[in-house]
Amino acid sequence: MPEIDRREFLKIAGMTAGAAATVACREPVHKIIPYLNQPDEVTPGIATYYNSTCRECPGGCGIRVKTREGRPLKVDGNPDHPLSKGKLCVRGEFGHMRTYDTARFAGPMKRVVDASGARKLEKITWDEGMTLLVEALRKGSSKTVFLGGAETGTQDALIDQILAAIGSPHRLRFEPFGQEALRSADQIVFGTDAVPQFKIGASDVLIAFGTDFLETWLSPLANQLDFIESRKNGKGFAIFVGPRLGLSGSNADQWLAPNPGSEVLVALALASEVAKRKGGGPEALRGLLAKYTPASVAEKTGVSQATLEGVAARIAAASAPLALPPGVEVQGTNAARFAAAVQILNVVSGAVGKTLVFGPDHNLGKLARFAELRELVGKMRGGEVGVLLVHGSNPAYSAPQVGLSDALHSGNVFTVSFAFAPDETAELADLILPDNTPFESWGDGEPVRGVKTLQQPTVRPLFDTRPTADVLLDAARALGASVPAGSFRDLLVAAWGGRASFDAALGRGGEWKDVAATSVSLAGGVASLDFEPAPLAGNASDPVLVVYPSHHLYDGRLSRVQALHEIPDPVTKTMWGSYAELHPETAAVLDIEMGDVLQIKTEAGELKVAAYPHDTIRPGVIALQVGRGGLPRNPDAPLEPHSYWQRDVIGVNAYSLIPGKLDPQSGALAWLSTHASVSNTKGRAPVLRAQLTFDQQGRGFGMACTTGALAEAEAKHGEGHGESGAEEHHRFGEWSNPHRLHPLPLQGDAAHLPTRQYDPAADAHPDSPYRWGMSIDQDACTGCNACMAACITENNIPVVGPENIRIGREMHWIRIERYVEAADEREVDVRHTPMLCQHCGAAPCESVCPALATYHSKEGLNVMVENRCIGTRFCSNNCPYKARRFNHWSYDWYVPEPENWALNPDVMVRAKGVMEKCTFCVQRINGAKDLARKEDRHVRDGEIATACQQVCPSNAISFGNLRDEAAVVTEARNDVRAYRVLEHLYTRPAVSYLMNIRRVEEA
Amino acid sequence: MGSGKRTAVGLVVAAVCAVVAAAGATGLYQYTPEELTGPEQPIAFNHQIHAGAITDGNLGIPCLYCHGPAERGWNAAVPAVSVCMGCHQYVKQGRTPGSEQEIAKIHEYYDKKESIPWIRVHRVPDYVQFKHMRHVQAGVACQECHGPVQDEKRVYLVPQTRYTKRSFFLPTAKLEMGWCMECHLQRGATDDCVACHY
Repeated sequence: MPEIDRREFLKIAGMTAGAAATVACREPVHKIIPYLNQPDEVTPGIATYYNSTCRECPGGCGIRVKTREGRPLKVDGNPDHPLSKGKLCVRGEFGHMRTYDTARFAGPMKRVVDASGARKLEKITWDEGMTLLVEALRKGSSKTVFLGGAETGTQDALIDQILAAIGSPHRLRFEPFGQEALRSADQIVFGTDAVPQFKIGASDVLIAFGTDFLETWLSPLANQLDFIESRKNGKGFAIFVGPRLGLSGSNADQWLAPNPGSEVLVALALASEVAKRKGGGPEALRGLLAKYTPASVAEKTGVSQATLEGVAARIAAASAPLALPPGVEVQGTNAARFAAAVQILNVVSGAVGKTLVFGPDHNLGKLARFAELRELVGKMRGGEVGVLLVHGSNPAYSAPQVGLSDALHSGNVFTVSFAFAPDETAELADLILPDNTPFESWGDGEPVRGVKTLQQPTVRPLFDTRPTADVLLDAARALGASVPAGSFRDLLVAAWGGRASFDAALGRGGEWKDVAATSVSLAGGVASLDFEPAPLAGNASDPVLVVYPSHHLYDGRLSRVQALHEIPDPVTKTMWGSYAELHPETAAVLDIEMGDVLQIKTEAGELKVAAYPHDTIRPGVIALQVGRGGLPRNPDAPLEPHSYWQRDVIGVNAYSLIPGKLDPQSGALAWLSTHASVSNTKGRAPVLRAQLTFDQQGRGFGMACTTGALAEAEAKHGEGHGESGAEEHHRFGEWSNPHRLHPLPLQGDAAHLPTRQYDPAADAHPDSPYRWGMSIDQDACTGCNACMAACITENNIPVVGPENIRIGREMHWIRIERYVEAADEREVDVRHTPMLCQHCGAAPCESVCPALATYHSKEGLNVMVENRCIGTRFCSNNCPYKARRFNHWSYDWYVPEPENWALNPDVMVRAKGVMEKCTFCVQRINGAKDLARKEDRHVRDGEIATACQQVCPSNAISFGNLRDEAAVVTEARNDVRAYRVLEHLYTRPAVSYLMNIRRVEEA
Repeated sequence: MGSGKRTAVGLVVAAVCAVVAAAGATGLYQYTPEELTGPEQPIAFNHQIHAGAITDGNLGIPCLYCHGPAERGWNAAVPAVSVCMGCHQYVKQGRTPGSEQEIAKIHEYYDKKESIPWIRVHRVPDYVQFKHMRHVQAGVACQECHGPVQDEKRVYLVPQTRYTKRSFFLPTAKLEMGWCMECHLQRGATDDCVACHY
């Protein structure tokens, strides 16, 4: 027996005890809490769906919200709704995050000034809040003003009624994108200020004058659905006229970039030439059009006569052309006249009555003009306003030109805000009576005549908030005003004809009926107008300042949604910040490099922004996106991996650079009105980019074919038979020249590197009825990022914050890669390639996992078992598509309540040290298989929709069983345009792409 | 061997023995005395009276009457308080001593509009998506995993150890993955990781 001394004995004993103790660790006690009264339609574990309306922008799309046990988890489009048709945009997907905002107003508050003079918010009860409100309204009597946003429907009418009843019918519906110019233009040209339907879906040649129709203009989702419809199979041609190729411009086929402000002359020159080619045009306009010809405007606009004539020829030859009136970014002090010029182009090209239809108009008639807001603020300064009620509008942020803060102070205005979360205007308020968020509210609206959409709550109010309509009704009653009895919900039901018809409408999502088109004719006096380019203040040698709306943040109202800052901007692919975009030539003049901090100054203010030189903006222009630079999201956020950045201000407020010049005719704010003096401070700032270059560098990720080549290939190979259709292609295992086997020429490396033929359906177990695969139509993909948003909300993908993004730790499972092949007057060829895990049959990642955490399943999926992963990251090292993401921190584990209520319980929440990637929404696949098993059958094609497929407004993604000959995805894989990315690496990807179609004359 | 090296070997051997001993014959999962007789619930609900065999004088309510979602959905929930109140708004007295107080507790919760916070006995970790529906439909009796609940006065995790070939015959306790896999392998059910881990 070897001798052990006391010390050694104690060591052994201690270690033994320690080892034994670790094994005795216990799980905490878990509770299981049932319903008190379980509603009939709810089965715990099975989702219940409710129809409602999205309120993230005034578009009014119908949504269907998936709830689990009374909590909304996922927002998708309502398939029955005529505006959204089952799809949703990147903003709408985050509608429920408003409700789960941790820094929301939790109840009524009043503003107090403490001893040191600091302004603070103090919590109060609803009783006290109502008392304060009623007192203020009584004192204010007829000097109360209600400042809201775009609103239609029952609540809108009710607010008018209440204001009239209390003797103060003063109301302004302020929207930064108020379409004032278009309404005035329609009045000038057609004698009615209605905003007509622009039937993009029925048009074959579309020309947009700086119109961001895929981003924020009117109903962007409906526009995208229509736009893609009009471009199926290589049809359609779109021309974008503007200083900067935004998302909408990136999807066009030709880009004209006239001198900023002179776009109005382009519109008239085109109208003149089109009229000439169509036999002269209306008599009344001939004199006017004769003054503006392509030859006479060429110099002022900087666009050559030949180009203008070419575009006009195309429009004249089209059977259903359509010109879209200017968006805000090109709106100068001649805004109304510019829009009128575009409407004149529509008149002479024959669009009116065909693709430009009055009747089913957009209900924007009651929106205030910017001039009216300025007038109101003037009244405040003069002491004519006693009480200001603010709801759904944030002019302190989006209209700094009017000086709201000073006016409220000097005019001694008692301000009440109904905002549900802190915003810049609520910062000025004396009393905050927070409204329920849209997902907690009843409501309705009529965004377009004939489409009446309903909104219902999908969760009980989380905090102590009340519907604004009810607050106003109670206040009016306390003042003794005569308002209808009952709650807002009672009035809403009554407005819809009683309970029975209301419930029926809820089941659909609303009520829609066709509205007959009304005919319009040219108004007199059009011909006597003169059209001048918009004047630009400042030094002519300085770049022109272009401020443009944000696709993700709209006018800034979405800036509290964290994920929208982290999804890369669709054009610049930047995240978490503001960047001044300019052309490399312009940058060279001032010796500016990417990341230099610039000082940009106009008469309205100055800002410091990092520079972002890139090619899809014209020289001589500097562009800034609106939406950022507001309040920090949560100044009290904990210093944890998931939240520390919420204390900071993100980016800059571009609105503050816009001088307050108005278009006298429409009262619109002139967004394009000045040059900006730009100086390089030589400071450096990080530019957070998801993509470092838009050049494919010859690797053939995003391929394209021309319309001519496509027609040839389709004729040769018959309908839809490409690669694996005919016998000639069945040479499995043989290395072969890809050119011979692909009907359309491949590009990049794939064109000259040999590849082996394979059958993708073989990459699954022989007995399995399924081999899951996907097909993505790049020509349909607009790069809108809706798929990224859907994937994030479905799969609990965390937001990692700017610091992690800077070192490349983004977590998105699907990304849109943008490749710019051409962007000029001859052609715009911008390709959007959604890239996700390809579920390769010969996956380089599967064979290198030491823990067997990733493997190829029997159904062909590349499975990631996250709980087995030990974090070597070898798999990501091997992935040629860089589809894998590593959790460097436990992002989602520590999100505070109620934000963690948004997590999907069907998907694992990943902790630190674990790899994750696209799973083809395996939770949905398994769910569908479970239901099919109940009925003792296989899953049918179309029963499974991955999150990205379900939401894609372009229907670009198809998913299904590659072993099913009749499946949509199999047909798409056999299409003439089909190809795989990096196929020559022989990874045998399950994801197939359809080539972009270049609409150029050459074959 | 030098004494330092001896210590090291001794320590390692002792640690291994400690772990194995602690793991014991019941697997790495060590049952607490509480688990072996069932945690004390807010209301002393007696499954034997409600679900026990009619021949023994019990009510014989089928499992799925209260735990219906087990058949229809992915989670088998405990019934809502309204399900209990369905009978107990009339049945104010039971046959066991103390039952009057327990039934009164249900009324208390219902009147206060509070739900009953039951202590959970059968649970798999968050990274497992267990689907009751598939198992019920495949003909797996509730008792196979939950034990003879209809004979239990208080629900507890009935210990059961399995030794699977795939895990080199190391013991696996009830509701550990090896325990589930033994049954899956025997019956030819799926052994695909992604069936449960996603």
